[in-house]
Amino acid sequence: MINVLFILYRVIAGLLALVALVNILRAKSLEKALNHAILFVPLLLRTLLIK
Amino acid sequence: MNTKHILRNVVVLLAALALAFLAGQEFYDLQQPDEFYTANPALTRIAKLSEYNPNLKGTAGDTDIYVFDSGVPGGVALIYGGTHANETAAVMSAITYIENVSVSQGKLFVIPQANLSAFSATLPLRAQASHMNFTLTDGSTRQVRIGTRLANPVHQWPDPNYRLNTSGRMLQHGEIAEIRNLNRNHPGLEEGYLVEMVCYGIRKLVETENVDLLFDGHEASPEFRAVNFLIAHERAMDLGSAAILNANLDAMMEGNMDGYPFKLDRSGATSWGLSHRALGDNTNAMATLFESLNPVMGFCHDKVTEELVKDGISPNYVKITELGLLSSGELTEAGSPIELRAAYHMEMSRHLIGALGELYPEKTLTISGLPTFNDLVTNGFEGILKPLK
Repeated sequence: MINVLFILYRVIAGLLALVALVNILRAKSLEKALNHAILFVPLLLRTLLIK
Repeated sequence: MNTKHILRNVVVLLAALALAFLAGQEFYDLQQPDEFYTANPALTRIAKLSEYNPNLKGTAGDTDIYVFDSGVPGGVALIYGGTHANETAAVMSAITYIENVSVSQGKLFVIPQANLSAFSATLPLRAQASHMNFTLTDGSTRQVRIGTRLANPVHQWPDPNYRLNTSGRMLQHGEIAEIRNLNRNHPGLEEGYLVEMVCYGIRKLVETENVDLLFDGHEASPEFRAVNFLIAHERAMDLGSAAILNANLDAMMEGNMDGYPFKLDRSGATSWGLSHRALGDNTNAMATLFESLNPVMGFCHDKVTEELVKDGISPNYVKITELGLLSSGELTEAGSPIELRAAYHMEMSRHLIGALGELYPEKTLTISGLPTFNDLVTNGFEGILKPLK
């Protein structure tokens, strides 16, 4: 169960990173692109189990 | 969306990726294993904790165990540091054992990084130094890691909302992160959270190897009542008394008429999950824990630079001491240097081992080769650590 949760949370972090990435590309203003970029960095690092 | 927007967004994405790469590289480097000196001829072998809990194999909890086996029947001791990876004196004490100790009767196990995962991160948002550097007499440099109190969330995630762990300690609300604290989850679980499995590995090591004496090294904040205390399980009280008495007699023989500031306390009946209580209750080992004074552990610590960790000189705590607000861990401008803190750990553990043979002759563990208190304090780790080849 603990291992399943670990994998599940990693998948969620990965999906959120993907959403942030798409939102960066679709952003209509620089502010929004930067906002999503700020979210994207930690989500990517957590998905890769780096930070 | 026009081409200009797409181009701008791609530039932002590339900048984010570059930032992730730069930051990630530093965090990734912290996850790489440390190198230790292994040329001590007395070292029999380097075991893995997964030998005692196979579920740890390949995980960030599979720490190294340095085994010194004389081959002569006698006492068995386990000395470990790095339960809390930012309590550096305990780690330095374990490293000093690994590099210098020789065993002529009995068996000694030393673990320098008990919570291995905790060495792969620093305290978040504290601008904490990640390493201590020591320039040795041959000009080479030895680097020793400064980690955190808890296991890295990268290795054990998510923290649950509630956990009644094997010791009976309820972890919830503000205390829930302690599920990643090695010294809250003894005696552990064979299959559970990573830290619980590490605790179980240590318990099985103690049981399998018939460990008689267990010494868990820690550091405490100046505000903490138990600074320079040896905390002993009920069955280890006689041992602790004898060790402190012998340590002070030794100090006086060497001209230090004030002796050491060591005190003894009995393990709290409700210290659930702590090594001295849970391993004392659940194994045959005489469980002890020692706390030296490190200003980095306190709430009023200055910026956690390498100098603060090594020299233990904290202007904040000097001021607090001058105001008379500290009753236990008083700090002067001389600080609480790593050599002094580690020397206290060494003296305490060395005399516990000595007392083991005095009180229980069939459990005699004879060790030699360790630097004396004066050696450590006078020469510093620059003169004690051995160069890596």
